[in-house]
Amino acid sequence: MDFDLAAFGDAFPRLLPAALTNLTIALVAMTLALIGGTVLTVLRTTGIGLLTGAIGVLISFIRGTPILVQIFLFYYGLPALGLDLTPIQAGVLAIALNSSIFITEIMRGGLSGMDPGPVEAAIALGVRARTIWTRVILPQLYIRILPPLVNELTTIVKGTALLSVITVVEVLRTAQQIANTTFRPLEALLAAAIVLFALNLAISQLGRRIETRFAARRG
Amino acid sequence: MPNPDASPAAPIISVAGVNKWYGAFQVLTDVSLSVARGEKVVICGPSGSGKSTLIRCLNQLEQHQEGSIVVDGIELGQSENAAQAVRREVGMVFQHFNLFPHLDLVQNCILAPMSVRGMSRRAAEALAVGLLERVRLGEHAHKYPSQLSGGQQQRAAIARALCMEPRVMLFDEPTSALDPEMVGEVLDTMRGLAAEGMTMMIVTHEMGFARQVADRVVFMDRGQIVEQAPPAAFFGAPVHERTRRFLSQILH
Repeated sequence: MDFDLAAFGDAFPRLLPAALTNLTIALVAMTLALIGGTVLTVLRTTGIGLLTGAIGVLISFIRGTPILVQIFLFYYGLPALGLDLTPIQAGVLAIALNSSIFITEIMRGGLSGMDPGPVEAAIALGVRARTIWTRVILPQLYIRILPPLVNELTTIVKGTALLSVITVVEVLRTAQQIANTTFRPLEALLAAAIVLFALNLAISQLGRRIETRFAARRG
Repeated sequence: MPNPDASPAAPIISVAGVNKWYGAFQVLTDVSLSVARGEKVVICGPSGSGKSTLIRCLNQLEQHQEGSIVVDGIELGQSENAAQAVRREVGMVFQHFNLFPHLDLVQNCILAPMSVRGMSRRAAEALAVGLLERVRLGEHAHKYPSQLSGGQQQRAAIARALCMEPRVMLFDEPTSALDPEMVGEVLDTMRGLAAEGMTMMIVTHEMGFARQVADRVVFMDRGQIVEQAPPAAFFGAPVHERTRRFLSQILH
């Protein structure tokens, strides 16, 4: 067996700072995706045919195409429309759009299983529709869908590695650069996999802790 | 919101010739009823008789199709604004409590006073704590609904409705979802409210409560008001056969 433990160990000091790029991109994309997913979810309940129809088309398009193609469209495609984005900007936007589609689907599932009673109580108290959304429906919904949301964040973290192909210097691209100089791809790539795995492990542990904290408020 | 059209002598609720259908099924048939200020009206009847539907029309959680409903001088069914104006003055307590599960009791209580009445957080919290103490939930003020028993949740729901300082309180089977040992504490809270002169409309099967507290008992069956009378007459000498049959079933 030819496994160079030293090369494996040497990869980490360069991969760990790069992981900060993956994490930052993931967190920004997740924030945008939460906002996007929420807006789409609220828009879908308006019952305006044209709007819900358009959102439906967008959802099936995003779900039915590879995310790598979507990333390429943002990075190589948008300049043709006069929108020049840096690799990180294009990557963040592509991942955020992709993820907001999955989040709106998660939110729809969460909504359909929610007790309509509290909303009815809010209506009876004279609370306006907008406030019912912001103070009654959405907070309950976010608490309910916390587990799939955490799961979505780990999916996003994995997706950040795809940005290596549009030259974002994150964990995977750093590993490739290391391999190119050491000629030890197995060690560098395995180290990269472990770094990303550790990141996701930390995220899911943190997620579980937050879930426990909100347990009483799930109702 | 004080209403200049509403004189103290006028009924606070007046329902006239109301009809309502769910598709082809008629749930309310020519229902007319008026409630004076301070009056306590108990509505009873078999399930599916339209009693919940009737009180849910009073704050427009359900819309009627024909007839008129006037609450505190405001004609309902004309506009969403009218419904909102009425909801500000009419509190409602539900069978399944319907507390906001993600908020503690104080937060449950202050949401509407702050967002609907524009009350400051400090004033709303003071009001909420006072009312939670009144329903004997002072020590639970910062617990979440899931941490409380059904009876405690229902008392909290009453406090939440009272935080809007309503002129009328509607109760839709407030004790039907409770374990038997918790019915008493909720009825006691309602008795206290009645004693203070609150106008109340109560859909319930608690006939003992009706006998003690109601000024008038209304019996509904198949979407119609069959009979209404003060409790002594209603329980002592029911006129209609359907009323007698219902009472014999419910009182054994």
